Amino acid sequence: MIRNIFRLGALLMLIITIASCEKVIKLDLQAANRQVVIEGTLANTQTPVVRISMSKTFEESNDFVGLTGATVAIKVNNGNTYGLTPTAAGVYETNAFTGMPDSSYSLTITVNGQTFTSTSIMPKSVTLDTITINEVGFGNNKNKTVYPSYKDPFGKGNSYRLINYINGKQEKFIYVQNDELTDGRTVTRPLINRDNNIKSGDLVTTQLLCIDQPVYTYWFSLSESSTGENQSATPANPVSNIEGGALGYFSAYAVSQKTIVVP
Amino acid sequence: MVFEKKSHLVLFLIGLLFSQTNLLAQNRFTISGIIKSKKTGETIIGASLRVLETNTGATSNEYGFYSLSLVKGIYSIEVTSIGKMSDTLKIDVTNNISQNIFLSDESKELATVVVRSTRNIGRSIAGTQTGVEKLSVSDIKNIPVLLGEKDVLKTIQLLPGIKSAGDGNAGFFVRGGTSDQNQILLDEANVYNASHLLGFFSTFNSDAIKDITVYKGGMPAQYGGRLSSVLDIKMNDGNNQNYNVSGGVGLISAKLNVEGPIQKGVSSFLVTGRRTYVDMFLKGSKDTSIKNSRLYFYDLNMKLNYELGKRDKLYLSGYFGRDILGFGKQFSIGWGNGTGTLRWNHIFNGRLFANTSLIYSNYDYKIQITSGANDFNIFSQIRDWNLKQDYQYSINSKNNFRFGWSSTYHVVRPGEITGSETSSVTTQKQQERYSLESGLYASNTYKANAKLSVTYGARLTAFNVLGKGDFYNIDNDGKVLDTTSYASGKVVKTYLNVEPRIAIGYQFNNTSSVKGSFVRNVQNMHLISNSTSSNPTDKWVSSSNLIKPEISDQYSIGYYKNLYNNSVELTVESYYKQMQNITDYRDGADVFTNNAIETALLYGKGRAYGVEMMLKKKTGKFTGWASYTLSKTERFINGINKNQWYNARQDRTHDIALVGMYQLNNKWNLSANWIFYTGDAITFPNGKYSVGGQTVYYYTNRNGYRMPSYHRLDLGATVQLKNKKKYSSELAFSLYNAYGRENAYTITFRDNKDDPTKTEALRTALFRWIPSISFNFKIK
Repeated sequence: MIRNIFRLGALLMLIITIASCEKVIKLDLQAANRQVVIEGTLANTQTPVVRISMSKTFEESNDFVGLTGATVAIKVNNGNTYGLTPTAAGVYETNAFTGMPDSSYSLTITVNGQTFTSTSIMPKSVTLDTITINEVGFGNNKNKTVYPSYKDPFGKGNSYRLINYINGKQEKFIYVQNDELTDGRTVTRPLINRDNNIKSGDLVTTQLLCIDQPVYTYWFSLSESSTGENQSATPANPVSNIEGGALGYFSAYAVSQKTIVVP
Repeated sequence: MVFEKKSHLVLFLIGLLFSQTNLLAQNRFTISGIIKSKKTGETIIGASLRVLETNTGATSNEYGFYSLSLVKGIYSIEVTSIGKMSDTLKIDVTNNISQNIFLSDESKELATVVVRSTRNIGRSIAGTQTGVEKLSVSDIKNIPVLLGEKDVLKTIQLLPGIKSAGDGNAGFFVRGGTSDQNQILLDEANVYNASHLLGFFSTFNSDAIKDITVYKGGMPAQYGGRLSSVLDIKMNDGNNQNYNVSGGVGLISAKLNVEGPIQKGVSSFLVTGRRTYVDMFLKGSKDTSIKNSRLYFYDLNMKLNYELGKRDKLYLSGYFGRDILGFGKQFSIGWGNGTGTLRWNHIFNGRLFANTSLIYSNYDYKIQITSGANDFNIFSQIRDWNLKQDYQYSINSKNNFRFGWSSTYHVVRPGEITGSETSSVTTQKQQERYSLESGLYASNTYKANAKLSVTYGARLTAFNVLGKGDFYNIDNDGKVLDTTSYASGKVVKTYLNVEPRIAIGYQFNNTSSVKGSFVRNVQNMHLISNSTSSNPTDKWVSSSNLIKPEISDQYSIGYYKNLYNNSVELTVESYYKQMQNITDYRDGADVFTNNAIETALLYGKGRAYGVEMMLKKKTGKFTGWASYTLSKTERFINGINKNQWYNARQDRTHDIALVGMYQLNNKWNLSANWIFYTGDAITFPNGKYSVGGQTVYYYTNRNGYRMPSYHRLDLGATVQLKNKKKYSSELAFSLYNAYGRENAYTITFRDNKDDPTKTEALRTALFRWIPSISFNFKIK
């Protein structure tokens, strides 16, 4: 958080002191061996979905190309194991259960002779109390910004991920918060949106996802050093909670959401 | 075993020392004193004395003190110094003589038309010192820089082996080291963050500076505490003859310098201030949030000195500087250094000189956020108290012995957060860290004969990690295994190190020499930064039970040649450096909110090697230099890059600087410099994938790519407007990046805005064609 505050300051200062100039350039980037990418989620309100694909070269299209032929299973609290079946290319689902807070979920995937495993524990649900829109920014560059508010339970160790949807479309920024500095407080920290694409009359939905510590570390390290934008930290792959060498994450989360019309 | 080694070394040193003492028996006399400027009374550092009859000599020390040992007789002693007229004294030596020497300023006309007497000026081919660079204040004055802000730290980047931390940046890297491995001393006080405005300007106001020496290798034993370099900056003492007011107004800052005698010839004062006023332009804005923004920095240097008598002199110097950056009422950050040095020079006799210093150094930052439910502030500080003594003992004409000790008490407050009752943020405090860093050194320079000199010595350092505090044991994954609490003042851990400092110089003839050195350096204060540019919030941590002292061993060899009647000097140096216990970030670590900083760190080693060449023309209408560095810098950190060696971020293969200054006539002075270097090593993606609806990148090799090559031409011109006895003024013009090269500052990756199925690389360039003008004046 501190670094983000500072970065914002630095960025604004640079804009006013010097006119920097930007240009799209061509780089000769080597193509790495393709890696399996796993995005596995389940929530207290949602049945499990696991999306499996392969990483791409820099030049290729961003379209999702699913990986077929995988065996996917989730074991609940070291008890029953449920198989997930393909519903589209690379998308594996089951309707057998939805998530419960304080439960542990173990994912096992076998694909192309490789096995990947991960365990995620769904934290207790924290309610998103309100969302408000405030203008944040400098000079004429005032951005309408979402301020979510929730009451963090006492005791350190709670982690959150927040997602904004603008008129039903997911915003791309990654917001993670933990209670390292805000333990037990009513937390109202802004979700800075650099695209400035929230307008009056828009329908904004914010989801508060309570996530476990390894998933927090995943999103935090991803936003710090893997998004390609942030050059102040050394670029690196995020710290994944998946064993076996795949990219991506497996997260069991408890979700709470609010919707407002932007005034 | 270790202890045995150490005691052997001590015995060896004592043995060497005493093997020379029999020479003392000769009937010799000592001529000693202080070398000063006739005009201002400022002491002169590094002036050369040469006894023409015996072809022996001496150099004045950092307080202007010199000492010569001669047998009875009549001698001519030639005294030379940069920017001063040389003087030759006739002295009849019949007993010990105490004599101060006053040198006149070189007149400007003379300096430009006549080839100066250059016998010992500049880099000395004599002696044993390798890896040293000296800059004169006039070099700094004439070289064009960004926005016309004359800057010591930017000018030294034009020297071989010293690399810029980025476009327009005052940060620098020396011989493969990182920026926190540079020891930056202002009147002996350690300056922890030597930059303003996120690194674009240095904290040193060049108007207040007398002397700049950079040691890239072969550091003398009196210095210790950093791996890569020592940048020793001495402030002016203040004119003790006449009152002087000088100043300047530039595009972004104004400066004022006032100095004069308190008691003529005995005591003097100096006050120098600088403030930038970028934010003044913001006041004109109609928008209130811009109008209420603050963006400036200031520096204040002060110095007093007082001669207590023939043998004693006191100096009190202080520096205070701060940056303020704020947006409206919602956000502000302030950071800065404060230093204070009280020094007492004492001359025991013509051969023994001592200085005692009490030094205070402070760096802190404070962030304040006042925005609805997010009221809080953050404070962090590092503070040192240092007491030290340095002795110089001119045993005889062949031996010059230096010894001393130093002890520093460090207090680090990593972060204290204060939030109001209703704030999102709770009040909390990370534990303060206490440590004591002590050093004891002895070093002797032995002139075996007219050609061969040897310097041998060692520095013994002790670092005590002290309570009160909790200390941790952690496993390989960075998880805390157990915690031990220590009471106040309890020693948690002690690190002892011996740092040998050895150098040999062999002079072939009057114009050429070869030198070699070995030096070990140890560093106990570490900057934990994942960032390439300097951030005020970068975190200093001291060695702990888990963070070991960083150690470097450097071997260097150099060849020095004076050409064309000493008007041109050629220097070629080569070095090999090994570093141990280097730290780096663990991926995904959040250092700010972390009490056990060790859980965020990985450890490893480094190596750096290279060749540096410099050809410098020192006299005539045209002066300047060409420097070239060929180098390699690598790191090996357990847990990074699949445990394989990789290029350090600051690894640059080639680095070229051409600097030229031309005195057109009495009014106009022109200058230009051209810089070229290989792009920094950098990590670019080798693939991509999508998570959470966003394109993210896949990396395989740390620093496996290069930024584009960097080059730039800067032009400068200075015109003298008035040059009267009582008043002079000048205008200085500069043009930074004269041919507008778009040098890549960052390269980032994003989805194409029009076609989100494609990704693209975006290059951001900062400074192109930045002109500046400034007006400088002097009232004498």
